[in-house]
Amino acid sequence: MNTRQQRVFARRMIHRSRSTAVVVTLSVVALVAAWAGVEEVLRMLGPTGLALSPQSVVAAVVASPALAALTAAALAVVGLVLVVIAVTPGRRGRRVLADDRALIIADDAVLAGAISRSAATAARVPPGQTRTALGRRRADVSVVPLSGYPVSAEAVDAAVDATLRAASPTGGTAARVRIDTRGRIPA
Amino acid sequence: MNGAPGGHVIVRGRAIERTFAAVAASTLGVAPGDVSVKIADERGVLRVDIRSRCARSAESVVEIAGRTREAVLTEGALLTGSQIGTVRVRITDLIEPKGRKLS
Repeated sequence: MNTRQQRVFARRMIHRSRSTAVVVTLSVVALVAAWAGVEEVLRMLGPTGLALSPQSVVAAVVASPALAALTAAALAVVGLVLVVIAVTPGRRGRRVLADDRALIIADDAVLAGAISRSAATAARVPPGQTRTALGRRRADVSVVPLSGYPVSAEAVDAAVDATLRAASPTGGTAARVRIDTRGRIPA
Repeated sequence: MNGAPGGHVIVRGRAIERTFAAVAASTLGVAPGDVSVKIADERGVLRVDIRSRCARSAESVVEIAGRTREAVLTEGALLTGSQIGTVRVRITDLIEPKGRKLS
């Protein structure tokens, strides 16, 4: 990944867009502003305003303590959600794979599948007997051995490390391999 | 992705059971079809349960059963490449070497 354009593109692919939240929030703000503006203009033009003016809504809310509390709570929740959306990185479970010539972005599920396959090969078990939970910085690999055929944890460790290194030479993801004590009879 | 050779070899449970049955049959002096073998997991190694008739010989049934157990533990493990934890041998009948039941 060389150019700035690729870095920007990768960032957009890896992180969730905030445009939906922004569009919804700004639309609500615009509607409220338009409502208040129309009411103000109508008041300036004549004695009659809108049937439901912002002032009457605020007055109704303030008059009822329960309604005021409910409105405050709802606004607090909405505000909290917006703050969380704004502050959190919003990762999408994708990562950039190492390649000199192209920008390759893979879902974590794809890398987890590759890790499971290499672990299965190293453990000499069918692919269905390995499972990988891939986090941002950690890969938890569990292997169910075949009964009577012990699995070398070192070999699985090495295979998983090699897969992670091939995907991302700079590292950053640590692997933890767990071999089940109970085996499975090959059907 | 890591350059490891693809593919894998798996010895299926049925094949392991038939191998153990053949090994046990040769020690018990009966046909492999007369031997019933069930394998199960025992903390990662195999537990082998054998039920079979036994051909009468100069040895006692206990000695034959012991030899059968040893044969499965050594030859069976060697042939299948597996690790065996426990072998249980249960003799159900005593027969003449030709196959006729004594009682």
